[in-house]
Amino acid sequence: MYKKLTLLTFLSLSLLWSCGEAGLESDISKVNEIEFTVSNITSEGVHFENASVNLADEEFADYLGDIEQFKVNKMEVQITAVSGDLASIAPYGNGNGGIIVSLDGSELLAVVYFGGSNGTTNHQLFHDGQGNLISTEKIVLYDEANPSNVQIPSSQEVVNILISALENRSTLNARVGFGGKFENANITLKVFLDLTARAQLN
Amino acid sequence: MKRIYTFLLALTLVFSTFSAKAQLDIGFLLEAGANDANTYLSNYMAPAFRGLGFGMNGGWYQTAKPHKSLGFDLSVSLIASQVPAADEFFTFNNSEFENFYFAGGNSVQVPTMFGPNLGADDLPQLTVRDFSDIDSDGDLQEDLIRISAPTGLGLQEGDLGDILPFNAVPVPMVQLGVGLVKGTDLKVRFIPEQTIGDDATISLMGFGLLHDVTQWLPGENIFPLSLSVFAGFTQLNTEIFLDDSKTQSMSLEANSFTGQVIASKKILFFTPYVGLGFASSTSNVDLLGRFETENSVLTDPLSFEYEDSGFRANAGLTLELAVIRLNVDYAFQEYNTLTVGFGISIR
Repeated sequence: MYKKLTLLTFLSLSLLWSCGEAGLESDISKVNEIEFTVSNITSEGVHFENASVNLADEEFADYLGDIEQFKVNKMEVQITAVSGDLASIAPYGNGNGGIIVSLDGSELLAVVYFGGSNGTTNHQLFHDGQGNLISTEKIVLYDEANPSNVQIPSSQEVVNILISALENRSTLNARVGFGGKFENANITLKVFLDLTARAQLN
Repeated sequence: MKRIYTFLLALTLVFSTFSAKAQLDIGFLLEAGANDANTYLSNYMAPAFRGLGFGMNGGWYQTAKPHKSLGFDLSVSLIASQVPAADEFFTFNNSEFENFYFAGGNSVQVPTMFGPNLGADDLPQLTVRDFSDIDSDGDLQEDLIRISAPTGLGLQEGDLGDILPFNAVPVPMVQLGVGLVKGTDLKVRFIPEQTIGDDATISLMGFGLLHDVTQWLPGENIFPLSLSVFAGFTQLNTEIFLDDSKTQSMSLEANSFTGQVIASKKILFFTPYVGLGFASSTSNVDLLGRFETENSVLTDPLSFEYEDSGFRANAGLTLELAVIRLNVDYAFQEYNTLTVGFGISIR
């Protein structure tokens, strides 16, 4: 008898307590950091460092079953540490210095320090008056909510690649390259990807 | 983390098995640490537990007139504690949290569990910032996660809204009343510990005494009303295990007490009545066991308590057809309660 009463109680409550038809919706946002460290590079030329990242698994593994869409809010880059005898992205020999960051082959950041009279492309944010790399603040490459904050525009193609990788839970190949003159140089560069997943619980 | 989500879901099982929708929204709170999770969840869930406390004080009586000796009644009631509109939201103050904050100002209104079901675009974003270096990386300004404030469950928008005319916490109750001597009834609510499925237990006990004071008044026979005093106590205990080894659990102990003066008058098949008195309730909720978040292990991480007390005034109407008794009652208190019940009554 008691068991029946208890069951009756719970059944009646189960009936009563159900959510609306709309389900519950929630945005979950995280900033993913991709860190590149180029160590002990010596010589002129371009030096690359690669990284692989699966953003969906790293940042949203707990929620993957409930996510219905992703959004890229912001992309930033920062040089967090520079050390060594020389780390210059000034033009050298017959080449131009610069920095390139790419995701699956698409350019997230490309700054070139041209030699001669060919002009400049935003490289000043990354070096001092002599062309030596410096630690920087975060430099905005993409800002979905405030486009006027962007300091060096990235391509929409990179945003599409990010969203596609998130949706497909695929691994991205990230690559950074520093071009210039280096002697025992150590450089750490971070890419910050501010991402939102919208989850729907039905 | 899934276990924590399971707990948060289970917490709501105190009352029922409403769907798993809430688990994602509030699971991240534990990432901000136990103190912040306590603060947020105690506010978020307050209407549910406070409503339970107010509701447990309902359904005790259907008339002021006691049974004759060995007369008895068995009644089943559904009590709905109305959640005031003010409790559909609460104010999130940054100053009350350690690692959890609202970036758009010092405070913001966020839904409680009994608030409306809002979409992500209509919910404020809350941030877990690592002010106390939870992840031990030396960065005190790092945002670990931002998430929409947990939405209300929009219960009034669902099936509940089809049944109840207002946003309410439903509390069912079953009780037996037995006539003793000298115009005194003993009321008993009792569910021995029951196992629900393999992972939850529940028990309930309550005792009440209804005593006819009309007999002590001069002119008893000409007094037009039945007048009684009543006192009742109810305790609900439940424990929900969150893992197969039963090392993690959520427990709830809810106690309620009421003391009232009741007057009633039988007119043909109808017995209108009114009651006036005092009611109080406490609910203690604990999350027990070891729980892993992304950055730490929390032991017995949550514990919060609700206390309510105040005057309670109610009015009701009972219809008696032979031994069948139907009853409706409305009580005025901080969470007004509507009670509907049916049962049998002998002598």
